[in-house]
Amino acid sequence: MAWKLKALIAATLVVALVLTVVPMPARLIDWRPDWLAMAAIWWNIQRPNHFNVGSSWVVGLLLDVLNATWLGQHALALTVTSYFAIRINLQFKMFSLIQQTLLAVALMALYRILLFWLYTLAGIDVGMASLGKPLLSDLLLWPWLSLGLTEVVRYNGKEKS
Amino acid sequence: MKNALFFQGPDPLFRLFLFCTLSVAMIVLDARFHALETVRAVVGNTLYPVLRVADAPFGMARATQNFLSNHRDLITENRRLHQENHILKTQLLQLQALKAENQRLQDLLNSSRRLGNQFLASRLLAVGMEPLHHLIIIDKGSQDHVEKDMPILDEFGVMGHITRVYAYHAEAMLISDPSHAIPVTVTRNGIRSIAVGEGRTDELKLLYLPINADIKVGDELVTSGLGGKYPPGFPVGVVREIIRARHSAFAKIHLTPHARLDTSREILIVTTDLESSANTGEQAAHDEAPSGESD
Repeated sequence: MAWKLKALIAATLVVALVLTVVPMPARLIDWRPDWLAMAAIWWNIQRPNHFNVGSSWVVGLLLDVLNATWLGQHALALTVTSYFAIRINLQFKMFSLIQQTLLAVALMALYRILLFWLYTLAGIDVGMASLGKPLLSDLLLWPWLSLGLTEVVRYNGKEKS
Repeated sequence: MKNALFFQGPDPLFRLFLFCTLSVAMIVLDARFHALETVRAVVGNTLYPVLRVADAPFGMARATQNFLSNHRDLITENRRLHQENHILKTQLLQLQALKAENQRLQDLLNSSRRLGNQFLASRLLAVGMEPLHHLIIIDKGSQDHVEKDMPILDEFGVMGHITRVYAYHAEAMLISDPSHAIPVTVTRNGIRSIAVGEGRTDELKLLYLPINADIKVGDELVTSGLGGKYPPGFPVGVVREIIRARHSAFAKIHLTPHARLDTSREILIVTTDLESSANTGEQAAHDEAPSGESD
């Protein structure tokens, strides 16, 4: 059962990774949501004992390699965000979907701000506009992502028993 | 795991501390000492299958299109390509003559500049994930003898250069990246400048041209070959707008890049070894000029 959950986590991460790198028209590229970060946060909240801060760190490292940033840049931002996600995971599950979405976007905003700060440290001026656009896509996508993943996990759980 | 609902493993705060320290250490190692290239190479190479999967829908679309295109369309296309090939070949005849002449003149000037480049065709696998950080990933790597700093082009102009090479794929920075600069020259009068990216795929700007510089809207810019990274003479862009502000010593000049930076999927890598061709240029020029056939 544990390996099954692990396989499921890995599968969702691979899907998120593919969505992160798939070529898109230039007009839409600014709006690309943080698929991997969102998936990591979702697992942090739902299965903190299977997907912990360390797992998020590994995901962050993948993002660093993909984005050709300093190794550790995305990892640091995602690690900190994950810590807060795990801290609030019990409260989070009590909230309604709308509240959950807002809270998740707040977490993603924290992630984006940390990234923004680290980019500035690296001497890359990414501009304020690039902060907001992905967050808006995250806001629109989180409910669907959350509902979808919940369904997938439930189906996965049914099969094993 | 009796208490699965409340069990969270070792204290998350401890983990946070551990992994934050690790991240900061890695950032320092990477930024100051470039000590983690092997880690990057290993992770990058393991990510290759994922990149292939991401490209699969496009591959399938191509295959379906090939499968569904009917006989008549193929004949029409074939005829069109035949004609195009014919025209290009005729133009090439003239080009060969010009090239030989140019080489003779260069020889007279004792210059070792050499025309004639080798190309390697590749396809786009993925595009940069961060806005304003313009990267693309292409499907040729060190297995195909791609090397760092090789320029990439599409059929319209210069796109950028390779920044990192993995086994089966490579990462390239586009000329529109804000941290990218390319030495250019105006074809009309030879004025030299540097074109830098602005974080938008349809815009570049020219640096360090005084407000009274002889430059007009519509001027064509090609690579100047200075700096040794890009071979000379490849089209970069065309001047779109010139703002001559009275309070500034420099003119603000915006270009439209020729390369379709956001839509090109077929990408050519220039594999000519610029350093060695500069050294052996004269020798090669003598070998090349009589035959008039190099690439």
